[in-house]
Amino acid sequence: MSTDITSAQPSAALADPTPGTAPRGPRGGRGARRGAQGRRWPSALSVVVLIVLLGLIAGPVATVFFGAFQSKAPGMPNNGFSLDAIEKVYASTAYVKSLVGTLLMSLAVAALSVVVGAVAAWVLARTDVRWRGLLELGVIIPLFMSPFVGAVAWSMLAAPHSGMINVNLRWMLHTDRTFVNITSIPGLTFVLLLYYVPYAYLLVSAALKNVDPSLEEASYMNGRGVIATALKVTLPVVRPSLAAAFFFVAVLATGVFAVPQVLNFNSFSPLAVGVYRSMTVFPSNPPVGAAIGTLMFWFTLAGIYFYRRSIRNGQRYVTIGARGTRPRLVRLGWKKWPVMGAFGLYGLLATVLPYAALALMSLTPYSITDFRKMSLGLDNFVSVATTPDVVHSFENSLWLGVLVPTIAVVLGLAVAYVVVRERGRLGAVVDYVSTFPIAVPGIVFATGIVWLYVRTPMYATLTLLVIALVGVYMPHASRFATTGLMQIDRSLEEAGRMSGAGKFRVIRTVSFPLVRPSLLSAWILLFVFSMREVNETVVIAGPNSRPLSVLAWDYVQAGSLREAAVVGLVLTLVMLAGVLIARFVLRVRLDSSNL
Amino acid sequence: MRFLRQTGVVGLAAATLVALAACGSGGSASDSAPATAPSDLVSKAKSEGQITLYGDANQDSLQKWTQGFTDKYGIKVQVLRLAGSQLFQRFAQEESAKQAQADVFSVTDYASLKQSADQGWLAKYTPKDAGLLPADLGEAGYFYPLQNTSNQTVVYNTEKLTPAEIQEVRSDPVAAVQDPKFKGRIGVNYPQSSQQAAAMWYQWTDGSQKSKYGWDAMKKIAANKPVFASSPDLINDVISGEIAVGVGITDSLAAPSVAQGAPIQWVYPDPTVTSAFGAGVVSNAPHPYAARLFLEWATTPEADNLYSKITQTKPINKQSKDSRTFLKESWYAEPKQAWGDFITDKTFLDATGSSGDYYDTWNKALGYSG
Repeated sequence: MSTDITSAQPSAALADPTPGTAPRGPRGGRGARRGAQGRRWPSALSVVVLIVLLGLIAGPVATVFFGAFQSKAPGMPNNGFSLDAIEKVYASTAYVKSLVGTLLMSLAVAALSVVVGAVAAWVLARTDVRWRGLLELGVIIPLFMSPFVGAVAWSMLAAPHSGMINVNLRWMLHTDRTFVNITSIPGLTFVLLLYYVPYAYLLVSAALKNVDPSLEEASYMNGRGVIATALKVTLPVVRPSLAAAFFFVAVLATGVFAVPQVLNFNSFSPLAVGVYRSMTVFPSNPPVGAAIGTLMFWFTLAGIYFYRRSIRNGQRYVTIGARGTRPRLVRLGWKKWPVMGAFGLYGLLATVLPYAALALMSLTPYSITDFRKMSLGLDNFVSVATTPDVVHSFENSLWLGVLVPTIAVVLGLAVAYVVVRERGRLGAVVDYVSTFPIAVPGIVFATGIVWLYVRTPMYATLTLLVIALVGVYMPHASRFATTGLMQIDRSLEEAGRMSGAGKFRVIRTVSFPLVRPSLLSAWILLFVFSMREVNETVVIAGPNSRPLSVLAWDYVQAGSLREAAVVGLVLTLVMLAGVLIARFVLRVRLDSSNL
Repeated sequence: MRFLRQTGVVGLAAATLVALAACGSGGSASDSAPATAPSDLVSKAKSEGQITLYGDANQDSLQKWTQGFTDKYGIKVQVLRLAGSQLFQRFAQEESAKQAQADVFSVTDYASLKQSADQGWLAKYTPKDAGLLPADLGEAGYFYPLQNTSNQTVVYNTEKLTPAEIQEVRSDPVAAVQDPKFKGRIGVNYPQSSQQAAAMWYQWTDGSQKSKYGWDAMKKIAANKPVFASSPDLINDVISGEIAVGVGITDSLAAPSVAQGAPIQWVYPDPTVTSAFGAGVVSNAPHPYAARLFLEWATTPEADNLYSKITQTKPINKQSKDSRTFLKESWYAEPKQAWGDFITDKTFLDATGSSGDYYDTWNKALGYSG
């Protein structure tokens, strides 16, 4: 391994980010806060960060658990302690099928996403494939569409009887067969896959970029071929990152309710859909929803445990060498055509077809999928533009898009500072609590937020949405900041402290500028997420705080799919505009290099 | 009736308490709202400038209808449209926490409105034109049947059925959807989507049509592998041809699409199920004057005419005109009988209430995953 003296310290920090178990390096003592008698005291910063995190994250989760033991939604009249909901969910077979189906589906989606994402990452990082930038953009562009809007587009394209693909191929080929069926289990898996491949790609690609290429070089030198090197050297080194990506996607896919709900999926009822229906469908039973939420929680918690173990192992292999060895790029030769074809196919399925379908939908007066009968017009655009809520929703979206990433990133930096620099037992707790929200499905978390805040003036305001989303995105923000901070030699900050600067001044003038690229990447990713978010916002938003994504969802629920398509298109344009501004004004790219 | 009167009194007392509480907590406008003279009401409402309407009718229809109010008074109407039970859950939670977001609450589910009035969540307010509306569809002083009645129908796509099949559906739609020839071509609105939909199914399985259809009919429908969807999704499925026949779509939802040229028609099951959207002013409404002015406007024949034109439904205001265009269509036939008393039918309410097992039985019989 090619490490040199200057990189020894950061890689020691990288080796184990969980401070509680970290073997202390030679300078560990100097980094710790000690009281007058030499005892460790948690710093004021770490205490404040922990309190904020507990409020943001533990509060709503605890409320959901409380709600599961009530007879009605917390806060309703004649409400009291009851075990009915818990019994219905845990002590009956009613939810076994849902549970098994949900777990199998999440694991399948995660496995496929990781395979596709990892192959794409390997091709882009290790071969001489052309138009690398364009292809990478093609892989991550599905992030710019709300998955449920993508689901609307795909049900328009591939509904078994009336989907555009089926209808038009039938008359073109003079047949009555059904070519594709999106409402099936493979169909649901396919739509989810399109939206989770980018996550897997980003996580694996980041790991590949950090792997020391000299290992692969040594393998080539010893006469191993491309495939053998990829399988025997590269794969084992990035395996922990693959595992991390796998568990990350599995946990996220467990919590998704909007996609199966839109696809009108009836093969089994995913647990997250069960939560949504318990809260919404007549006669609604919120405690049962909360109880299902707690049931999901145990499984996602297990997923998070494995995820954290994997990233810890992943860091063990990472070396940042000072000697810049570029990886040897595999020459693809004629094989570059099928490879580019595969990227093209992915782009077609994940981006071109859904947007084409949305564009067509937004122009038709009612559901028309037969190209021979198309009649187009701008009525839907007029209808959306004249809706009084649209401008207001647009403003709400912009506020969310600015406030959520900004606050989350600042708090993420504080978390990272406590975790990486101050360590200690409190640091470990902070680290754990900040990863926690990934384990809580969005709709469950949102329900907790509503119950917790319904009696406060913040209820149904934009402020509450900001609070909720900052909590939800804390893991993302702190992961970026932690990775960024770990790569910076602590001696730079210590030099600041030695020269008499206080902690906050050091953070502001030394740490922050150095981790700025990581933070900006986090910012831009969270900007996109908060713009398209619907799993949480749909439950929390009030009539005056609805962002565009919720407006689109409300249109979908009301059966106004064409208006939803219009809003979905507008939302994508806003996100693209934000990302382009970031790219050209702030010079931040949304890619894997800072993950 | 005595029960109604008693609960009404309790409701009024509760409403007064809530109003007092609202005044106490600094609600500046709600202090004397109900007793304002009409001219005063308009100016005070205009100075509030907006209202939020919670409704479960079709989103487009609500938007277009309330635009009529905005055009007349310059007061913006923000519509929050959710499915009835979701909306009521939200409304109840907000009202229990004294966090009123809505100014006007409007759903088709009578039980939700009744409970809202009983809990004191709806303000006591009688608009000037209240007498023009049918008294049995509302609760005088609390909520009124503002939007028209709607009836459950079976909608079919004329391009997806042969003339003989159309004939079969029209003669007895409930028998037709049991016919194996429609396997894979039908969709149903589940009873959980609204009280009215539940009443429709209940009538066939346990109610007046029990001997004609009963649970056996449900098994035959299940054998035809129906698509399960809420009524807004179901109507889209019929229009796009995803399914040929959709069971449990209200005429108020289907009619606007017919007007736009969608290839659909409908037939009423006999008897059909009917109900009206009721609406009332929320007792601690953030915009109490504008909310009351809205109720005044909404009860006028003018507003009913507008709603009738948009949704193509039969007007209920004594002085408004019937402007349904499909009445002249050759395929259209008026419903013969309609069941509207389900809102007070005790056996039905028990079976579909929180301790009843109607939904579980239905899910099992139809093969719906819930």
